[in-house]
Amino acid sequence: MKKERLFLILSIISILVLLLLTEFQKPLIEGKIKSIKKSFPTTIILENNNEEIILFEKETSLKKDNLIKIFGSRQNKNQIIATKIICLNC
Amino acid sequence: MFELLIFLLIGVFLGVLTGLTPGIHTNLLAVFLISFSPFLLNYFQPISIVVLIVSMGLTNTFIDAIPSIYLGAPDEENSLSVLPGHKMLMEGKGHEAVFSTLVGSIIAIIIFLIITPLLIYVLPKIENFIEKMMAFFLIWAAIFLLIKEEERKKSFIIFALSGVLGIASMNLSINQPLLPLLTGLFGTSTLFYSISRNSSPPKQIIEKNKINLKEIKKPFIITAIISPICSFLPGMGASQSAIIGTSFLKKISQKEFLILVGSVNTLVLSVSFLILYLTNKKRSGLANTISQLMVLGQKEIFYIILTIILTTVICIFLTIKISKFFAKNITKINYTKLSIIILILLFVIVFLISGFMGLLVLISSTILGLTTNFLGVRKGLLMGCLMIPTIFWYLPF
Repeated sequence: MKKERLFLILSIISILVLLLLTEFQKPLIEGKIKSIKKSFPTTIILENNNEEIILFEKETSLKKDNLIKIFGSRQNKNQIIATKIICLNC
Repeated sequence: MFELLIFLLIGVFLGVLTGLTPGIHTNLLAVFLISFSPFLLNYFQPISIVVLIVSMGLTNTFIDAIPSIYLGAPDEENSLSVLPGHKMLMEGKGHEAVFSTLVGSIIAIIIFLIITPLLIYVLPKIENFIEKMMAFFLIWAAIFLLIKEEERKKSFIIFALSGVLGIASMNLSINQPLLPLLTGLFGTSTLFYSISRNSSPPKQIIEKNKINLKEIKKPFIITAIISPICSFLPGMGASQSAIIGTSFLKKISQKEFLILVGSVNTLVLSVSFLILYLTNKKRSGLANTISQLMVLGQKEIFYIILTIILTTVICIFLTIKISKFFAKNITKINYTKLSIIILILLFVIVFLISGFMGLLVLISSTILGLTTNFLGVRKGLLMGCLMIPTIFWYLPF
């Protein structure tokens, strides 16, 4: 098999593995919403955590006191980019 | 004032350190600074630490071209997948390549000083419009980028795969996902490729460099238009902005591209401090760190602009000195051994910052980076890893 084809297949497999892993990961953080600023992006602060949670959506039904699970990545010590939020009491 | 000057010089020193060490970003040092800030603020004013952060970040944008040009260059056989700086290194023009990025950074500061009054007036008014239009702007840029390619099918596959990889990486719960992602796509893959070809750079030509006005014209215009727009958006780095910038041009020389990368790199960071002052939005890791230290007022932004000017003057001399040192000694060292040491260092840094999952992202992105080399398509297309997720973020539906 040609080197370029082999590496292309390896790339696809490794990306698929990463996609699969995203489905099985635990939430980064969970808690009750202390404050929510609905602009673009939406900024959320939880009661049990001071980190700023950034959500790239303007229209969201989330509101204060909702219990949420956040999936995403920690950009630095004080900021989380949320890619998925599950509301437990909406 | 003396305290500010001392902090400026410490910032320059730290910027040189982060700039020369592949994989160590200024954001990492800024996080350490924030951790120590309760202690530091007992003895120093917050503005001193802000000056340190600004000078460190700015110095880094001048110096980081040196390791990225002198280290990890593959041979010229597969020219399309070789980055322009590496191409010039293999022609013995490594110092000229660094000098071009330096010219770019100086241009950036000139543009910054010219557009600052304009931005202060216009920025808050057009902020919402730019954010609304961004997805369409990026889609158009991506189509333009792909149409320009000779190997369109291969280019599209690489662009799409890098986009999926970007989305997957950002959906994994890891610290700083961009670190393993970009390190793999552009750093480790290039180093592996270079080791596999067993290539070493030729003797470097060190002569007085001249840049004519014609070579500055295109990068100047593109930087002035693109950088302020791209500074608005999270996930939009200097390289991505430069790639978008080049997509507007029919033809761009290696030197012009390097001038553009240098200028966008410096201007995006400088403008991010201005955006923090004007809109309180944190468009760079360092702007975010500053926002945690203090609220910027007129006096503080004046100190920041002064720091930018002074740091630029220092960096002009530093960059030339360090680049000449590299150019003189690059043929004396064992290039393969050095590449292996850097590879190990990058893997360790990624593991320490992003953990085991970060290593998986690094491995995936390295494989995709190598695939680009083997397929012979432009490495710039790998910026799809940021462009595609950003398009999804900004789509209004």
